[in-house]
Parts: sequence; structure tokens; C-alpha cells
Amino acid sequence: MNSTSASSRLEVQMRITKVTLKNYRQYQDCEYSFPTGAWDSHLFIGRNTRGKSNFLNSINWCLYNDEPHLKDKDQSLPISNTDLLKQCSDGDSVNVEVMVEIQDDDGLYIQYKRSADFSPADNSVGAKEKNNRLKVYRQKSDNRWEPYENQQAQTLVEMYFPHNIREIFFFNGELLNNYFTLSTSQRLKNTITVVSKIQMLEVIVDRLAKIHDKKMKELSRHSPNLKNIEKELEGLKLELDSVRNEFDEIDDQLTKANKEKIELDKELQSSVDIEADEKDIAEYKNKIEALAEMKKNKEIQFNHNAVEYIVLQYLHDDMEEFKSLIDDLRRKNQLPPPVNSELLEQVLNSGICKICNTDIDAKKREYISKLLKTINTSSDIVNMLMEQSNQLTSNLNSFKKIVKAKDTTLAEIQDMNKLINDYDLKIQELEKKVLNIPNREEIKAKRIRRRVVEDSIARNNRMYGVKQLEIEKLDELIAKKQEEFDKALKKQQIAGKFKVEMEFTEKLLKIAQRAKSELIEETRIEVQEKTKDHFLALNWMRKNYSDISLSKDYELNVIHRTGYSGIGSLSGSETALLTLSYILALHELSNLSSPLIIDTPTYNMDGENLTNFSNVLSEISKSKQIILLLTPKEFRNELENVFTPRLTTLKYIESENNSSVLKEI
Amino acid sequence: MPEILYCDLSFKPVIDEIGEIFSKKIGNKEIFLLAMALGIDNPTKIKKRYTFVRHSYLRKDEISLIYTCAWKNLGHDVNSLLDEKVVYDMAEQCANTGFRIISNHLKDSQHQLFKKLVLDTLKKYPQPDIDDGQEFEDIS
Repeated sequence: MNSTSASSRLEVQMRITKVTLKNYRQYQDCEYSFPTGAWDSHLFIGRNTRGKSNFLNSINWCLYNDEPHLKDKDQSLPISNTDLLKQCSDGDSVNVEVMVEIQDDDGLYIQYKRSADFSPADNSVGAKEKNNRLKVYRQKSDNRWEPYENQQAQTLVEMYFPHNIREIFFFNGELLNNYFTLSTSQRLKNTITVVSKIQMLEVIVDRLAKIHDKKMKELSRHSPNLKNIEKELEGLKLELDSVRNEFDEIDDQLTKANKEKIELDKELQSSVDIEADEKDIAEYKNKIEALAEMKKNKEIQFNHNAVEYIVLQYLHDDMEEFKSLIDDLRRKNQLPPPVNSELLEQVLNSGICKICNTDIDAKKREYISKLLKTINTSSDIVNMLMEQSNQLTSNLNSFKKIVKAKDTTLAEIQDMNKLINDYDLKIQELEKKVLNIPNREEIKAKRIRRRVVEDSIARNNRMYGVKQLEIEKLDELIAKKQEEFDKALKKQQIAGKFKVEMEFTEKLLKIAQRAKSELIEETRIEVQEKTKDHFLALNWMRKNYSDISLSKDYELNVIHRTGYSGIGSLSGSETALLTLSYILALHELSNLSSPLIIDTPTYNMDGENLTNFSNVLSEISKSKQIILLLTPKEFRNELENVFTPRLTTLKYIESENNSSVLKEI
Repeated sequence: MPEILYCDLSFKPVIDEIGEIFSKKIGNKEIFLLAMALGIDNPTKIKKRYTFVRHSYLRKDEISLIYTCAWKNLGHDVNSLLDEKVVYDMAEQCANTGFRIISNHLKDSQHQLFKKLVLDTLKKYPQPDIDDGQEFEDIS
């Protein structure tokens, strides 16, 4: 039994005095003991895989038969020490036992012992478990030990470590940083409901509701109309129950998905975005395909240009020569000027000049007749040559243009070839990069999983709101139906003992429900105020923040001095302190002065924030037992400087012969 | 003026093949003018006529190419150009030679030789100096 006397203890109501682990995971035989001192702070330092989280798991396993802080790789491993399990021959088994000893507010000890036997599984993966049982031994005032099992043992667990709010006693640094992200307002409400200690009231409300229903049924038997309304009312209540169940399920899924997302974010933080690279590769391939199509069209255009070019090129010299000949003839006046022979014919026929409007004489008539004859003889050839001259000019100009067009098209094709080559090179580089990434399939799978989880969060967030509305609507419908029922009841003037009894139970029920709501509401306000007290008690917080509110919808909010609000604006250490303040408020209001056991509490803090956080934790250890499980990286100057003068225990978790053991520093 | 321009029936497969090379995006008149240009130096007679191009499809500038071809092969005699039948017969005969040249280049299935012909032609003739501001003047 623990040698520490009750008189030397601090003024705390309950504390853990010892935890022993036998054959539990990496612990073959280990005892964590927690002596008292001026401060009740206990630090255990261990590198990863030494068993810090499994110490937390062992307490959970002992008290609740589960292990909420397992890492993925541990999920498939048996609880029993694997080295010992391997040594088991046929029929042998390994006995695992975890014992948590506490000292209650009367200075008497309680020992929680869970044990189970594990034997190798037939398929050599995992282990078969049997004889899992929890026994509790309670020291009486006459120093006699009384054993408890089954339901009684579980009641003793619930008395000091209520299962549904265990996350405010045993948790890890991740929860400190993400509590308000992981927890929906419904979860906060549930925790506060538990802390409100309204279990007895809940039992009363439940019982009264049942009596009320029974009375209603009895009453409705005397009235078919009432019976119908009652049926509808029952139907609505059933529907409400079903919607509430769905709501709780969504709430649970949201919590899990948020947690998984945080883990995935952490794991993928520094990983290469393979999907982005693959997307780029696909995009480059699409670009190449589009370019190839454009190039094909350009090549057709180029071929057209080439054909036109060849035709004009082959005929070019002859066209120039032909045109030059026509131009020469024209320059030498060997081509008659263009004459309007129709006009000349009209002048001859009328005998009047169409230009000066005077009669023409015989001499002029003879000249015009001669001119007309000459023109008629040569006009066909002249017209033909003039036509050819025009078209030759056009063709020679076209040739110049086609040369340019051909070159432009060729340059465009070359540009496209260059682009295609560039994209090809980029694809090769990216493919090489993607191929060289270790665990690329795993990273890819995780990224896909993260998208699925994000979708699930978005979907569940929507559904969360929808279900909330459905509940509100059903509550309204039930209230209306109840009113309808009451009216019908009055109408039918069914008095008598059923009515009186029902009205009486109804009144009692309403009083109990109101009392329950008021108690929860009071607790909510107290949680808000105490959280505020703790949080703003810190000077550097008061500099920045002016208020904290926990709304009726259980939304926690922090108000900055400048007026803006939102816990999203808090830094990592501020968020951790807010969570700690909230948890301490819950501790106070629950009247459960249980210890705080935190695994890797400061994993993402440094500098001033780490000093401040360490100060707060160490101050708490004046009146509350604090057990911290740290990595060597966390136990650095800021934290060491604060804790060293206030330490009760400082030990290293080391590995010796494949088993975790505690060593003095 | 002839309504139809003819080619030799034996070149029908050649014409089809040229169409394939250009993904059927080249017309008969363009093929005719290409053949005519390639065969301009050595006109040969058509043995069996095959309807090839409607005269009405030809633009004035394309007709001018036919007249240039005829003018070169009729001893630069402008008077001969007044006889349109003579002009178009000459163009058909030059095209006939051109089809034979193309046919020889199309003998390999990949049409490499034809492509080579096109490319060689493009390389063979130096490109004229291009001056955007200087164009041939229309003297009419």
C-alpha cells in the first residue's frame, strides 16, 4: 500500500497514488507511483513509442475497458505484451493486469484492477482474449479491504471518473488544441448536462413522463377522439426519438470525421501533392492533344498554301514575262486606247455628235467609220490582254502574300512543335518526380481519404442543421398536439380521477422539466463565468481579450479587446489555455477534483507561450494533481525552468529488454 | 469556251490519292492547276478523257494561270490566245504531264516522295523579297 500518509497530502479531494502495469503492451512490469509534495506535479518523459500514450490507454482500459488513444499501427496489435505472447506454447496464455490506485477525500484507498488472459490467435494475427474482469477493492475505515465486482465495481468507477466526461480528466495535447473544433455544441451541452448533476432529476422526469403517458392512455380509453389524438402524439414522440437518434449519430460522425481530418492534415502537411502533379500531367497531355489537333489543321492549311505556292512559283517567271509584254505594248502605244464603240455607232447612226451635240460632216463620218473598223478588228485581243494584265497583277501580288502566309503557318507549326516538346519534357519531369516519391500510393490514398472526410463533414454539417430544425419542428408539433389533446379533454368534460391524476402528474412533470432546464442553464452560466475567470486571470490574456461567452446554443466565443470575436482567431497556445480553462471550470462544477493526465500537452508551443502555459499548469498543481507525459523535445528550457522548482516526480520512460521501464533522472 | 476540263482516265487513282493526302480538303481545280504547273514545260496528249473540272468553277485569276501556261507553250503568240479551245487543250496537256510526275512521286505508300516534291519545290525557289508597301501595279 502507498506509504504516503493522508495527513501529508495536499488539500485535494482525490488523487491517483499508483498505477501498475503487468504485461500491458510494451510494459512487462512497471509501476508509476505518485508521491505528494508541496506541489502535486508529475512529469514523465519518453521518446515516441516508449509508451506515453499507452500509459493513458492503460488507465482507460482499466476503468472502461477501451483504449481511445491508440495510433493506427497499434490497432491491430493485441493488448498483451507481444514478446510474451510469442513465447506462449499451446494452451498457454499471458495475463495482463492494470491497477489504478486512488486515495479518496477521506484519505482511504481504492484499487481498480482489470485483468484479462490473452493467448495467440489461430491465424497468428492478434490474440484471443478471455476472463476480462474488473475488480475494485475499497479500504474501509477499519483498514479492511472490501471487494466489488460487476455493476458495483462499475459504480465505483463512475463515482470518481464518470465515463461520459472522461475526456476532461485524461486527454492528449491534440484535444487541448482542437477541443472546440472536435466538439459540436451538442457535445458541449452533453458534458455540461453531466456536470450539472441532474441525474436524479432526469430519473424523476423520466418516471413522471411514463406515469403521465400511462394516465393519458387510461383517460383516452374513455374517449375515442382522445385516443386518436394520443396516438398521433405518440407517433410524433416516436418520430422525435428517431430524429434525436439520427442527430446523435450525425454528431458522433462529425466528431470522428473532424478528428480524422486533423490527423490527416497533420500527416499530409509536408507531403508532396501527388494529385496536383498528376493533374498537371493530365492537363499537359490534354494541351498536347489540343495542340496536335490544331497542328493537324495548320498542316492542312500549310499544304494548301504549299500547293498554291507551287502553282504560282512554277508560273511566276512566265507570268512576269507575259505581263511585261503587255505592259510594253501598252507603253509603246501598240495597243489602241479603250474606245466606246457603241457610242461611235450611235454617232454614225444619228449624225449628231453626242459630246458637243452638233451635226457631223462627211469627213468626220468617214473618220469615225474607219476608226470603228480598226477598233472592232483589234478589240478582242486587246480586251483579252487587258483582262490578263489585271489578273496577272493580282496573281503576282497573291504570290507575295502566299509566301508570307506559308511562312506564318510554318512558324506557327514550329511554335506548336516547340510547345508540344516543352509539355512532353514537363510530363517526363513530373512523372519522374511522382515515381520517385516514396509511399506515393499511401499519400495519394490519404489525400483521397481526406477529400472523402471533408465531404462527409460538409454533408454532416448540413444534416446537423437539418436535424436540429426537424427536432425543433417536432417539439412544436408535439406541443401543439398536446394542446389539442388538452382542449379535447376539456371539451369532453371528462373529469374524475384520471383527469385529476393526469393533470397532477403533468404539473409535476413540467416542474421537474423546468427545474432540469434551469439547473442546466445555471450550470451553463457558471461554466461560462468560471471559464472566463480562469482564462482572463492570466494577465497576458486580459491584455488581448475582454470577454468569453457560452451561448444558449452552447457556442463558445471569445471577444477580443478590439471587438472582433471568434475562437478561430486564437493562437495554438491560447486555444490550449481556453480549453484548459473550460476543463478546469467543468472540474470545479462537477465537484470531481480528479487529476489531470495530459499526453504531449505542449507539442506545438514554444517561446513565451510555452512559458505561460507551463506556469498555468504548474500553478494548478498546487491544488490538483497534474500528470504530464512529455517528449524530450517538449521538456526544454521554458517548461523545465518553470517546473523544476515545483516538481514532485520527474522520471524517464526508457526501453529495457524490449519493455518500457521508469528511470530516475 | 469549253464547259469541262479533262484529264486522262488513267490518273483517276492518282487524283483520289491526292485527295487523301489533303484529307479531302482540296478541290479538283486546285489539283488540276497543281498538275498543270508541274507539267508546264512538257505538254503531253490525253489518251482517254475523263471529266475533271467544270469551267464555271474557275475564278478569273485561275483562268489567267491557264492563259499564262498556254502563252508559254504557244510560242508567246498572243494571237493564238484568242482561240480558247487551243488555250484549254494546252492546259490539259500540261496537267497530263503533271499528273504523271505526281504519279511517280506517289508510288510509295507513305507519300513521302510527294511530300518531298512539295518541300523540294519550296526550297528550290528562293523566296522573293517581301516588301509590304511594294505591290505589282494594275496598269488598266
